[in-house]
Amino acid sequence: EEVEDHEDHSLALKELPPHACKYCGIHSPSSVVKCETCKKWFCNSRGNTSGSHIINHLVRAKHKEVVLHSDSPLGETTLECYNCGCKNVFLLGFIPAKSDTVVVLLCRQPCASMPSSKDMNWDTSQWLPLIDDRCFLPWLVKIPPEQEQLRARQITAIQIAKLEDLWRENPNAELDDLERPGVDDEPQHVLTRYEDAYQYQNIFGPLVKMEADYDKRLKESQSQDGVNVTWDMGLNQKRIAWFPMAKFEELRLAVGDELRIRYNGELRRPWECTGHVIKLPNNVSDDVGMELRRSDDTPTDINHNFSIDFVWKSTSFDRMQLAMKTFAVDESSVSGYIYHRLLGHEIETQILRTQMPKRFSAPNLPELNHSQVFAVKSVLQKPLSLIQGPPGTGKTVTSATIVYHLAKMNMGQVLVCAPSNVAVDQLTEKIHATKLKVVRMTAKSREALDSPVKALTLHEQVLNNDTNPELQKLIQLKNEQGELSSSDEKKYKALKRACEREILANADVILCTCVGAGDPRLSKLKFRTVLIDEATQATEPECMIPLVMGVKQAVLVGDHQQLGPVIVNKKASRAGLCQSLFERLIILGHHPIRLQVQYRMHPCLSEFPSNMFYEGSLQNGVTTAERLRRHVDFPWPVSDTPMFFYSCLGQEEISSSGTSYLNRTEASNCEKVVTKFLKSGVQPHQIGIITPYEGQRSYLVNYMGFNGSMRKELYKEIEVASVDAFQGREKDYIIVSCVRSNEHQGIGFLNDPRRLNVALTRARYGLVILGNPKVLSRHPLWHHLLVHFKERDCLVEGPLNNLKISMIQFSKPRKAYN
Amino acid sequence: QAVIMTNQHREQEPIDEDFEREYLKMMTESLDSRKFERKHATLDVTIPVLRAADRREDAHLESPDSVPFMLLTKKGNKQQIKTVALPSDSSLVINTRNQREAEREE
Ligand SMILES: [Zn+2]
Ligand SMILES: [Zn+2]
Ligand SMILES: [Zn+2]
Repeated sequence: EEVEDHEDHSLALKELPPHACKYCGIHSPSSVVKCETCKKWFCNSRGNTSGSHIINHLVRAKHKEVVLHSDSPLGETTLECYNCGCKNVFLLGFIPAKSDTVVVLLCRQPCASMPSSKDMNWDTSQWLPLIDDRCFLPWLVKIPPEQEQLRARQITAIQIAKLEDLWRENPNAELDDLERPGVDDEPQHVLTRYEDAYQYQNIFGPLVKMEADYDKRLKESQSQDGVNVTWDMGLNQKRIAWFPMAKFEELRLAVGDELRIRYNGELRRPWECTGHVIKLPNNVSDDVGMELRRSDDTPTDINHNFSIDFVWKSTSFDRMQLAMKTFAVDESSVSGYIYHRLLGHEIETQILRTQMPKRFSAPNLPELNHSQVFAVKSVLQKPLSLIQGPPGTGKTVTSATIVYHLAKMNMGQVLVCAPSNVAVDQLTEKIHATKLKVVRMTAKSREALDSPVKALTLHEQVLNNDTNPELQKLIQLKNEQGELSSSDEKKYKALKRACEREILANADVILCTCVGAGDPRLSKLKFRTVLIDEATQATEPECMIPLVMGVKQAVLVGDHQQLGPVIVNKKASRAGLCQSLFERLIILGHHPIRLQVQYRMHPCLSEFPSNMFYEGSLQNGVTTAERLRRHVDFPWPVSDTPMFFYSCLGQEEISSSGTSYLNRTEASNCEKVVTKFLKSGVQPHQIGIITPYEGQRSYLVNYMGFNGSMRKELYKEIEVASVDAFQGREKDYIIVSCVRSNEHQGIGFLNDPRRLNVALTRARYGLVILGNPKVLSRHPLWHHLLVHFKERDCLVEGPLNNLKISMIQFSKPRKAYN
Repeated sequence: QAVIMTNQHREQEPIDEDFEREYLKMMTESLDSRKFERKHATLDVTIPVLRAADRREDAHLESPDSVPFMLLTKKGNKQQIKTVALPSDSSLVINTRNQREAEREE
């Protein structure tokens, strides 16, 4: 007779005890353990997955500590190192006594890695990990018998992943909740055309919220404990804490971000303080610098055992939401023409009747070339224009020139924005050179930062104002005493606001980041003319912030063949949040004006990017002769063609942080190339090393410092950074370390054509690519690149002083590149 | 008679690469976090003298495929001894057996 399995099953589910496995419901005490972090129980069976349920949970939730059940053979037992008390199960394992049937649980590092001496009772060399083949040792936590497993709830890896996701929002969720509508719905995809601004808001609003929620969760979950701190004092008399932060890459920490530092140790009573990031790790120091909000009571006598949390701020997302709302409800937010254009409505093209300037180049800026003049001319006559600026084509000069003319021609002020502070600073400098009155507005948390345009910032202009003696007095008083009485503070704030208003009102041009345009200090102002640089790196809602301040004429500058906006939430990204407004306008049939003459790269370096990304339209504004350095004695395989692809076949490895990759062969070859450059007289600041992985960046910096034959300091001055960090910049010589080299996995970041384009177009005088041709050629775009190098005899191998043309066979590319 | 169910009808899912990657990350991250740990530079675990009674109690755990072992644990600062049945083919069992035989021969 058959066992009535179904009934038993459902009956059992209804009355599951609290210690039942949260995935499958198995609940025999000897087969389950409790996760100490979230207090949920899981069993030690694999079900249909590659790891046991408890291991699945610990790995996915990043939890590490467990307790055995009180009715299990060992009773309620916390698994921990007998010697040091470490409870991380991924580190624990058993060692036997040398002469007795006794075992003890020890952590692998440091307790079990002490060499066993002859007279010691324990044999540490026999250390046996607690987790074996993604499962707890079955004699410690029983694997439920087959019969029990088959009667349990059958859960798939996909369901597990979803359930873990759900727990992050709602810790009490059950597997059944996955089936509820709404939980797993993909959000609505962005459109090309929108009925009206309400529909626009209805689609983008949820995506911005998703991104915000995800960002918040990601950053707030990244607390770091056991942090060692060095104390310092800033010039502004504020306390600075320096500390290493291993997770900063995952956090995408930026200058100005708010952190909280806490002390919960035994050496004093608990203490905490907030502050903001003033410095990020670079090749000189791996430390993050944090300026504290308060200076009193800081435990500067203590250096160990601090905790750092990220203090998440919703400001930028709030401003995007507000901008979309303004776009919908406020008719004066944008002109009628721009309203319809942004939404993709059919509307007759408008030509502005403007008095054209006699001279198109602006004072103190370089003369424009023909495609730049053409761009300026057509922008001035149109209410909405796009300019595409491929690498090195003088985008900033063109933008600054346009702003100069707009400011001179139009009534009212021009608002100039970009998503990044670096770009805003560059534009500020150039526009300032034309003698226009500019104000650079920064976020409060960035005011203390040194910047090349410090004197032009709003807060500096307030400090240096000479029109208000009373304000001056209060500023001086505040500087001397650090604080003001509350009545003085009130007066100071009012006077400062009035002064800010006056400075802003008198400016020809106001510059800030896109998000900065939502600053309350600008809320009363209207801007009929707006230019957004790097527009292809901003999300649509971000671009909307400066646009909805009354725009009648908008200029978007960018390059959709370079990197787009960074979206952390995959779902929001898939739904189209990663597409910039610039790109959507192109899809709508809006033709960007392309700047066509590049002044950066040696012509041999611009050839491939031009053909691959710009339909071969890039012209060279520099000659081969201008980009050759005869005195630099470097073994280019083909003289006059300063580039090569250096075949490195070494394997990739997971970096010590576990979250990234490194490649020792490439690092070693990279050091040799760098040393050769240095010996030929190239200055460190002229060299840039691009590598997509933080693991390789940090390994390389250390490796060069230790192994390079030149002075350590020279290597330290060389910038080693990600592709993303090099966007918008250039170096004389660029070395690219691809890192990825494996048989079966992907090439990660390198697969993005726009990232490759950016990496290839940073160098002015020479380019060396280190990578594994066999692996990379599987990807169509890299295949093209390798063929390009090979055809020019620039694919080489062997020692640097004796490079030989590589005969390596390429792999067959997998999918067609499109 | 009972129906014998087997595992055969279960489909092995394709390797979950996300999990594999996260697992590896967890392992390396854990190890890395202890790289500079020097706090307990000495391994100071004394083996308690086991009473004969302790051993006798566990005799029932003896079976053809398992061997009773003492597991030292701590509750607070108190040492506790618990018994676990290690499978005979476990490396711990095999090594201990080899060790003993070697000693006997000496
Ligand atoms: Zn947990
Ligand atoms: Zn389970
Ligand atoms: Zn330990």
